[in-house]
Amino acid sequence: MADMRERTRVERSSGDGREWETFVRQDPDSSLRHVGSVTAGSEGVAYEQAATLFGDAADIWLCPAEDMCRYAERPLCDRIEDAADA
Amino acid sequence: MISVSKLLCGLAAAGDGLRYDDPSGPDQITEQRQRKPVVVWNTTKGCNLYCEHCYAGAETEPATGELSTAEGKRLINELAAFGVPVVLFSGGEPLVRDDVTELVGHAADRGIRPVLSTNGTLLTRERARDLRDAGLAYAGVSVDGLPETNDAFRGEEGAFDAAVDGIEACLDAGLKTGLRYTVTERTVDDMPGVIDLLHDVGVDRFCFYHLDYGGRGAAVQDADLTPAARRRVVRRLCDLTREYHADGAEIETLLVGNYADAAFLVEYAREELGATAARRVYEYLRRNGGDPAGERVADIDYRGDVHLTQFWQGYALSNVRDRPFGRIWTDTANPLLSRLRTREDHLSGKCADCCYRDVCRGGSPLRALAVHGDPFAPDPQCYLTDAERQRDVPPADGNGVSEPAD
Ligand code: SF4
Ligand code: SF4
Repeated sequence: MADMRERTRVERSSGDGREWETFVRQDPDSSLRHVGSVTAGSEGVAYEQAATLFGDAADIWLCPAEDMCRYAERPLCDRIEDAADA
Repeated sequence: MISVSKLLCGLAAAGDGLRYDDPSGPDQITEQRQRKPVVVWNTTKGCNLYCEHCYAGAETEPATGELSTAEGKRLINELAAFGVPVVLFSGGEPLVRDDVTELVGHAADRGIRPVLSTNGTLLTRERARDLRDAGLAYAGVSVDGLPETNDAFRGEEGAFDAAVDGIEACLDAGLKTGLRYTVTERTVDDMPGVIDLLHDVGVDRFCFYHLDYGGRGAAVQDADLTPAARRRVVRRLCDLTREYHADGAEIETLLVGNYADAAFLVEYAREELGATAARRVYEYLRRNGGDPAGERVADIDYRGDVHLTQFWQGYALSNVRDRPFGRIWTDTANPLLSRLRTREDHLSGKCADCCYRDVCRGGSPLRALAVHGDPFAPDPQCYLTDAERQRDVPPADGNGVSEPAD
């Protein structure tokens, strides 16, 4: 089926160190879930940090944030003109 | 945030509603809003100073990727829609952004209580008046010691005098203004002197922060107090507060960032004021709820990343550019967020059976993470004795009969 939804590419500026998008599979039969990002200078340190925060997960995946392409239907820049303001 | 003056002196804290995790707050803010976090917004990473303990790791040049004015306003709209009661404009130094007054005004217009955390050195009289007119509810100015200590810590000679000028500018403009003071080995001895000096200037609200182990704060862990020294300084602050009040000076004193203080205050009240007072203090603190990370306090950094506290910058839940704050904050599919919110069930070591876990909740998960590699391990800053951790709480009356909490 054709994709009818419009999305905008979201840029995420990097901070001090390197950001690592973090995904965990809580149990062997659950699906992989994005659980945020950790800041670390290397993959090894990023893994250690993720493992201390999500120690009971079965699997942990890490990806450098700058290598992620993010497409969102309602990014903040599009929400600015939203008529349904608070 | 624990109001020592309120708890020990029964002062109706003038800061009611500034922070809802202040024990004096809940009467002022509706039930609905109480469950929503106070949001710290690090509007910029830029700062005109370079302090050794900066949790934000601020730099003298602003970083790229800051939320723009338009993005900031939209963010504020979303925070208001979600029911956030208070936004603390912080940094870096928020006053290096020239749109801060506009953003403060926008928050006030949307029914959010805007408060400011600043090093004070850029607060001119004109700026203070503009902020007041925009609706700023409170300015917290950071000073860390008497001039010599403060200036060495802040990396700039004259920073102390500039901060005091800033405080005076705020007070002259009629802005409610208070001190923010980080207690470390280096600043601890200056504490009574700073209260004295600033009280003469006209300040009547004094907030003392324990060092958290995030940002550059992690690098100065060695300058942190030992548990015994921490206990002494908290006791000194309790004594000082009561002495000021006995002299008719109703200063407001608060402790921030270490909920072993809550347990200690119950112990202090029991010792100095009796079992009934101790019980009252305990009930207040139990309702207050202990360490607020990931629950009653949230942080949004300069580029929109959402953190569990302002000090915990090394982990982000998500980013407000991708997803509205309310969705991020209520997404308890995140296992860390959900464990933090039920942390009583996950506390380990001496916290697991501590009688004060309802008023403390294991203290700072960030310090536990930094020192023990486990956010649910005991806070390394805990200074309670084993005997105190095994007491009967709530404290029974002198005759052993408990009275209903009032
Ligand atoms: S602690 Fe405050 S004044 Fe010091 S560098 Fe950080 S933001 Fe600037
Ligand atoms: S033992 Fe744990 S729960 Fe008890 S006061 Fe210390 S840090 Fe808090």
